[in-house]
Amino acid sequence: MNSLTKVSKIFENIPDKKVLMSGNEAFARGIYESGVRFAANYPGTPLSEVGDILKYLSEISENFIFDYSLNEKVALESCIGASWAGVRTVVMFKHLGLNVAADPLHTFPYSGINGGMLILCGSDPGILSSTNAQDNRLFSLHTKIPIIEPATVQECKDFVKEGLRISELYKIPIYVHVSTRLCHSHGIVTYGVINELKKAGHFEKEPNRYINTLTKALANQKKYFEKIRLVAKNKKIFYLFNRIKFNQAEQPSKEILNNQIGILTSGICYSYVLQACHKLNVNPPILKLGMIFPINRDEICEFANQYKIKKILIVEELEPFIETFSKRVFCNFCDAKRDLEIHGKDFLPIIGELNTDIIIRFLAKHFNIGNKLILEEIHKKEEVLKEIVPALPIREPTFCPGCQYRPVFYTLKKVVSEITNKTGIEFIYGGDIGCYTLSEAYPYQMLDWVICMGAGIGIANGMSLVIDSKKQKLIAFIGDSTLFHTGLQPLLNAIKNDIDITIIIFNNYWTAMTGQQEHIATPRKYIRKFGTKSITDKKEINLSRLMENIGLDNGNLIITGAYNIEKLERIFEKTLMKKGVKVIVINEECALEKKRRIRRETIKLEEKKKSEIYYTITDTCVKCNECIEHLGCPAINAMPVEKEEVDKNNPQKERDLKYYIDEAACISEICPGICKSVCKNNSIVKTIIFYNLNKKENSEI
Amino acid sequence: MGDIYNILLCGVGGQGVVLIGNILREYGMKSPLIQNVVGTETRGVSQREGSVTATARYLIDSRIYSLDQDYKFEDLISPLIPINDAHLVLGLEPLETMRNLRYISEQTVVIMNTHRYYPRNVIISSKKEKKYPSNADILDIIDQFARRTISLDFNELSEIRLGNSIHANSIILGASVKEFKDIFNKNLMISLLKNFFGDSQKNLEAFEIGYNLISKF
Ligand SMILES: Cc1ncc(C[n+]2csc(CCOP(=O)(O)OP(=O)(O)O)c2C)c(N)n1
Ligand code: SF4
Ligand code: SF4
Repeated sequence: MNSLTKVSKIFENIPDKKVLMSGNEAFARGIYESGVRFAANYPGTPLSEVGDILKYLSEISENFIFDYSLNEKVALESCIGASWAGVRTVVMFKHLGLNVAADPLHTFPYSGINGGMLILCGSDPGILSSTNAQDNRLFSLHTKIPIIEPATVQECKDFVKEGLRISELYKIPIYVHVSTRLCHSHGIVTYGVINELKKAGHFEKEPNRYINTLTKALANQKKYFEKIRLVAKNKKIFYLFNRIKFNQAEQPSKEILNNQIGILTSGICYSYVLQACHKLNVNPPILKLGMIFPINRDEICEFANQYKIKKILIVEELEPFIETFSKRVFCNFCDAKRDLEIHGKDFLPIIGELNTDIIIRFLAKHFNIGNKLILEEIHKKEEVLKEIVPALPIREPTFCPGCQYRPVFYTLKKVVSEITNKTGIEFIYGGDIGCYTLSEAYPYQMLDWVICMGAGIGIANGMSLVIDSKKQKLIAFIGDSTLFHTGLQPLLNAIKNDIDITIIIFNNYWTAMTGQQEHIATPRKYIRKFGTKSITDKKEINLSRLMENIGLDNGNLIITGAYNIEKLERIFEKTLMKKGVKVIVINEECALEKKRRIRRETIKLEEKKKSEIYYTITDTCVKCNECIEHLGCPAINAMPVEKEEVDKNNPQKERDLKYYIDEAACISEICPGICKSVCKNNSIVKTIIFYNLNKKENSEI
Repeated sequence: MGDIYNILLCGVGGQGVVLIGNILREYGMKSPLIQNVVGTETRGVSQREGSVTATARYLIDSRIYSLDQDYKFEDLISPLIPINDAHLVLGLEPLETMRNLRYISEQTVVIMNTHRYYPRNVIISSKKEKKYPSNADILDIIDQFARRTISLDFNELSEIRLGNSIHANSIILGASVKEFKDIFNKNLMISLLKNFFGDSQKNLEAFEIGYNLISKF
């Protein structure tokens, strides 16, 4: 199935249709069904796909507007504006984005909203694709913004709808908390009806409400806190998002009745809890919280009272958030009060994702009944795994085959080590976030810190002012999307102070790491169009031209491509030792996206391939490892010369590997044979096959 | 009410793990025998060379595969497979199959492609810290846990029979359908293959090769 057909299916107007979709697709469907007029996003795993799908929607639908904003703060502020003008709106980004948007986040709820507004935020407890695992639920301790959390793919859609309704009812924003795991899960979703979309917004002036200064802010704060109190007390809202699951056995034993155990959980953990209960064959009452802040005191107590619960087990990822709130409620207000035992983070880890196996262990500790054999089984298996799995080689991520970053880091490493050998000067690498962060990995290993977006140059600012520039020199890396996100301010600060630093800006035209979204410096003609109706993304900023105008000293701005190693060598040799701020802009499109883009374009133009290029390693290869190890293109691979059975009897033979270029992986239509230019032995040859001439030519001859 | 049937796919980025996951989940959606379907995929930091896994979990009518308590539609929501609980593991690469030993037990059938993708740090002599175990060693260990293991260099088979190794996955799917005939309907799977891969004759041929392979073991 073609990916476009799949996306178009998300927006079919067929109520009650059952469709298999991912959590991210369900969010997009929910946004569509709810009549959202405006959505804004800065890409970030795990929610990037929602933006990608909405981008498509904005181009095919009359009134829906989508914006890839420059950063999360801009995205949030845009959505506040749209909501104030009366239309429904959703802003989405990854958990880290909330830090960037934290300034408006703490004040605008005082003024409240008009059109329903959701802040959809993905969390990453396992740090699968982030720099930290911060628990964004804790933001609500000081913002007071209500949090809802879906537990199934269906709920991803439904909670968007219900969340917007409640948001509009109380005129407050609502935060949707979702884990990476759920965003990337698939399940069956039943479509609902599509709400009508408000065509145009209108802003009513209300200075007292929107101007948060001094006494006005104080009055607004009071109003806002009162709204939150009302949400917390509303029983209908409680049962709208929260659910109790309990199948009372026909004849519960006395033991069960007297020691009733209840479980409190939310989100994806609920699915693990269900699975663990099945495995253990126990059947406790489970309160699945869909709204985790604010907590409805009376209803939570009612749960404990109704089922005569003596012990509460709380299952949540990361911090004891639900635990802290509910403990206070249970211990002060429910019938069992101080006799009630509460467990959660006394056993469950606050680090990493949870899974069914951990929860089985947790529950088994407290249930006297059920299938205990399972514990032994888990234990036995884990003992075996401990012996085997950690000994297996891991697969380190690296740049794509033919990636434009590879020749840059390869050359930089060479030049730097020459300088260091000659002068003893040590180079320090300020890292930032994007595909180029992979320079940390083998074989380049040129990275000294990664903290957050913009912190490559940011941290270098202070460091450069205090280190001895005769002994240490700074290089900072930054990508184009990151530069416009939060990189310009530290860059300008560096220029203001005229610090000694070489800044390498990777202008690859896309926000590559999160899935090649366009950004402000993407050439408009490269952007894929699905329809004609987009009203954002009208103008582009030319990154090189911008750099020409920010006050760099003469000769301190160098603009180059990525694939000419000799030229790069000359540039680095000339620049690294110079004083002041030197900016090297590498203009070269993300090779992966370029490959896809060109393929799309040739299909569209129905062009036939005129020629094809192949790079091959000949038998003269002496296995010096320059291409496979130091350059490290993954299209260059090795195969055993002998069959493996032979290896087993003769372990020495195992080393007999023959290097080859995997033609399925090599992107010779984009990469001009970087491997060939680094091979000192001339063992890599280029072959061009011309289709129209119908003959084979070897350019090496 | 019914039973749960768990499929785990594992391999290296670019091998088609995510795609086969989609096909198998879509199969669950289409099959009248299957009442509910969930799943997930975990990719590494990127599409490049990393380990990838995907799951497809079915709620099926029959009670042949496990003695677990009966499940209802709303009970099957966890996208992850618990320890030891895979019924079918499609290992597209030996090292990755070994890495997912956690899910393999006496109820598991493993279909493994023995074609190896060497991680860079194994090839390069100066980095040789960990060894890539030989296929024989890997099979030895998997056999200790699995109910049945079917292993073959499906790339080579595809190359020999169809002139190109890219049909290996279709062969594996064919073999899976034959192995679990009571769950998979051949015609339905073929129609899905057409849906995802286009009407390529080679793919259907590959599927048949896989389907007819199983009786030979
Ligand atoms: C505050 C914040 N928002 C979003 C992200 C997610 N993110 C990680 S890398 C990246 C892309 C950076 O793009 P660019 O700088 O152009 O580098 P490229 O990946 O193209 O090499 C993004 C958006 C993040 N880590 N932090
Ligand atoms: S030409 Fe060489 S360096 Fe470029 S993608 Fe192919 S194998 Fe890699
Ligand atoms: S996605 Fe683009 S920028 Fe990122 S590693 Fe691949 S080719 Fe390089």
